[in-house]
This record gives sequence, structure tokens and C-alpha cells, in this order.
Amino acid sequence: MENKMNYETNHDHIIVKFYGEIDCVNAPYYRHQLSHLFEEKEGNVVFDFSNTTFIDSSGIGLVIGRYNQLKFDNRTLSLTGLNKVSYHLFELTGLFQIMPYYSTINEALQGGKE
Amino acid sequence: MKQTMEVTFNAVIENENFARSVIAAFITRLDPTIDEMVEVKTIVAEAVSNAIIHGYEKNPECQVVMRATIEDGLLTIIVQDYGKGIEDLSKAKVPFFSSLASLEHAGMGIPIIESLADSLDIISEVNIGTKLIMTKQLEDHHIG
Repeated sequence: MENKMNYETNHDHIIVKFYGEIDCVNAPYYRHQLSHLFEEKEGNVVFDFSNTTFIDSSGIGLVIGRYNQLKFDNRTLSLTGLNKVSYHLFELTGLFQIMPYYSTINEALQGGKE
Repeated sequence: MKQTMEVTFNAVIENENFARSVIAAFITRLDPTIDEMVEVKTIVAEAVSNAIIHGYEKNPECQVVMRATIEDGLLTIIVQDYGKGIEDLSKAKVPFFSSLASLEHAGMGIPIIESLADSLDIISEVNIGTKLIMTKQLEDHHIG
């Protein structure tokens, strides 16, 4: 599967979808793209990893960095679609203590509303 | 029968991906589950990126060595660099969330390896280098 990222907007949310692998080669590129996107577009953000096969600590760093960027503007970041191993790593690194995880995109869109 | 392999590659971050592909090809003979495959690739990704980024500070002239053996389903992976070494091993091992939250590069490599591998030994000396020895027992899914 090709490594790529795209986004769509849904009401007041930006849904970012990651495809393939997130590693130390493409994480800096995604960081650059996303930090511009979040400056240009308002709204809370959902990261969808349903099509992501691999995430290493650079990917976790990417998520933390974007969380901090959004938090500064009082915006939220929610996560969905992690595979079993990635979920375990996110849990291990304590990410779910600061941002919510939802089992589906719809739940993430609902949960981010309040 | 004990099976072994060894690769040496330059300390450029693109080789994290290369090392992942090599280990994936090496363990395919055990028919690992998808989860086992992702776990092993993650272990290698963290060990190799540590060697490249921390050990060698991405100096492309430097060489990382990865060795692996399989014996009775036990996978042993050794990732070695001859870089700057780890000054304070105890610090590298602690997943320290408050510092993590402020850093873009997570610095979670060692805790991640510890969590996914069955064992991790670190041998490191300042300005000599670092050697990570990791083991993981894989199920042998071959029938007959």
C-alpha cells in the first residue's frame, strides 16, 4: 500500500486519513503538511488510522505534536481506527490520557462536539 | 536448525524502512501472524532509528549492523552501532510522559521495544557504541 495522507471536512471537523506506514521518513513530511492545514482550516480534528499498517515512535511524535498545536487554539484531536499493535503502543505511551479514542469515525465526530 | 542473517547499512533514516523489510523477509518462513509481524517490524524500527538518530546523529558515513537468528521459533535480533553511546541508560528506559508531551520526537523507542519484545539487553559505552539484543518467541504456524 502506498504511504499517503489525505483529508476531508465534515461539518466542523477535519478528518485526516493515513494510508500505509508512518515512520521516521514520512512523519516529518506529514508534520509539515498538517501544521499548515490546521493553520488554514478551523475545526476539531479526527485522525483515522483504519488504513494504516504500521506506526513507529515518529508517528506517535507526530500525533503528540499536532495535539499540542491544536490544544493551543482550544481545538480537540480524536483518534480512531488503530490496529491492535498500534493501539497497544498508543496506550503504552499514555496518549489516551490526553486525547480520546473512538471505535468509529461517527463516534469520533459525535464525541468531539461537546 | 539455527538460521542466521546479517546486514550492514548506512546511517540514513531511509534505512529504517530497509531494515524493517529485511527482518520481515527473514521471519516470513515462520508464517508469523500479522500482529507478530507488526511487532517485530516495530522493534526493529525503534532499534535502528535509535542507532541512526541518536548513535550516529544521522551521519551517513557510519554503519549500522543488524543480525538475527531463528532457533526453535525464538527470534533474536541484534542491532549495533559504533556511535556515541548512551550516557545514562536508566534515563533511556523510562517512559517519561511529561517530557514526552512537549517533544515532537517521542523518544519512546526503548520502552516500546521493552513492551513488544520478550527481552531486551542494552550494552552501551560512551563513544564506543551501543548494542541492543532483543528476543521474541514466535509461534511456528507451519503444519507438519
